[in-house]
Amino acid sequence: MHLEVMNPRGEIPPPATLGISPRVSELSEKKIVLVDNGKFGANNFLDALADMLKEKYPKATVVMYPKPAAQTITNLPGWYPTVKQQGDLFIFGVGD
Amino acid sequence: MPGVYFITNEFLEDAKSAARDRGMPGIRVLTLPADKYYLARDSKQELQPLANPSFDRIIDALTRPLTPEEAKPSPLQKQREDSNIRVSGKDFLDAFEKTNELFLAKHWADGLPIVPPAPELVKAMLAGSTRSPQEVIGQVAPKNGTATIEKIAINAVMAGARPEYFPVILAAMEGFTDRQYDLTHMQASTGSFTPVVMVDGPIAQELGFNSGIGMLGHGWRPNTTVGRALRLSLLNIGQTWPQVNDMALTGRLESYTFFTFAEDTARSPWEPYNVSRGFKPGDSTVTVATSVNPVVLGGGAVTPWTGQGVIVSIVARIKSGGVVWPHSQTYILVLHPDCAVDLASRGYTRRSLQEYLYEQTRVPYEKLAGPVFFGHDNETDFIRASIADGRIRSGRAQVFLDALKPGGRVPVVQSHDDFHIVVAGGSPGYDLLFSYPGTNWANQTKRISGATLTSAGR
Repeated sequence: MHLEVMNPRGEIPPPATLGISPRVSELSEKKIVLVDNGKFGANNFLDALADMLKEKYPKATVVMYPKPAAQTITNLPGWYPTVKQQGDLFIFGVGD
Repeated sequence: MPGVYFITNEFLEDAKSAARDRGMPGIRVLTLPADKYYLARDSKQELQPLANPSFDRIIDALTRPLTPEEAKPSPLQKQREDSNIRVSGKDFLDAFEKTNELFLAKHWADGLPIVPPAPELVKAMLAGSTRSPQEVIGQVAPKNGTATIEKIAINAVMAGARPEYFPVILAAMEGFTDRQYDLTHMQASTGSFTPVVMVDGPIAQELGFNSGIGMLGHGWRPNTTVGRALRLSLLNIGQTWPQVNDMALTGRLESYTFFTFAEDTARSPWEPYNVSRGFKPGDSTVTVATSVNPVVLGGGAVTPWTGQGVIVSIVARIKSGGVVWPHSQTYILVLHPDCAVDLASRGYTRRSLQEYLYEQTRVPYEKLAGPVFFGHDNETDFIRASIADGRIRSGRAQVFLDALKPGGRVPVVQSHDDFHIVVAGGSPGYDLLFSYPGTNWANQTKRISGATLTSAGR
């Protein structure tokens, strides 16, 4: 006995792949961007990291760059490239 | 720009899935223990014990040279899955059971038994509409699977829907895939949202939708299987699965069938809801909307109520919400027919009731929320940022600017049209308030067309 059935899944065109950016050899004298994703507590975690980064890398610059709330920006995808203009490296968090 | 992402451990699979979906499988993600992070996040001091052990991992993620695969990931291959599958069993019941096991194992089902989508049944479903099986009606988030008429038909068969329901299902899918509808938020958010699916116009009665006692419950095949067809279509075409990329924390209250019901246009004292949204009298439509779970705010058989008392309760409930998000706030108010008739007898039209709710729910400027959220020091800044970016609809920004000062009263919605008032329920019945404090507009009404098996919806 055989049942022939049809596949219910939608086809998904595969996206083009992209590599991630080359790493740096060390963080000293770099401008490190801490991107607060806006969820409650993310700023506290990034503040804690900022203190540690400043202590270990006194010649580095640490900047906070909060992501705007999706409720307040019509073109959020267009905002992401602006992170690159803020420094050399980024740490993004904290997602769920 | 080299970077690293922090998430909690429960979302690692979700993050990997999203990275693959966007063609960047190599992004470096670090995790924090969820069971500790959420309790500690109130202060920097409490988070320090989590930040300390993270530090070396951050340095490693930012300085460790890339592997060849991270630098140049292999091209992602198109999923190769057979369009038709043969399932063998010793008899029909065995093959039926094996089909169900296979579909659930592949994450193609919802956990309840499905009707095996045999080609003959799918063909019969397609005959319920004039539309071509290969027509594409849109992309289904979060993975942007292509929603063809045929794929929706397969899912409708699995759900147990009848072919005459198919045009309703297609119109609802047009709503979900409309680019103005934030389907990703509904499908993936921790918020555990459930769609509301409201059928309006003559097709509701012709198909036998329940709009009376038990309208959100079981027992009426149109309500349950139209909702389930949408459930399965979103699951399979958008390719979501709990704990992978559907992170609704509790699941959804009506996960299998959504909140699917019809307006009781016969007992409503007002014009049909869809006419109030600009459709022609006699049009059949379906509205889809993202919602948190409804609250009951009056009516019922136990304690006395009045229409005026119900709307006072609604105003109090909305004002107790605590946060004004005028950029996106939407309410669906389902009044049971007796309540609507009582309000109409006191002179309320749908429009005047919308205006009453708009005015009465305004929040005094002095009571706007103060806590920081999404990077804003207080709610005034939050609303001003929305105005600056054009998120407040044309012509409405000045209303908010005028209200953002001492003595001002700030609306909780952009306009009275954001109170969607529908009449449905029993006699006696309850009055329900659905709300959506989401990130984007998530409420679409589509005309049902192309029906071949009903008089309405053609």
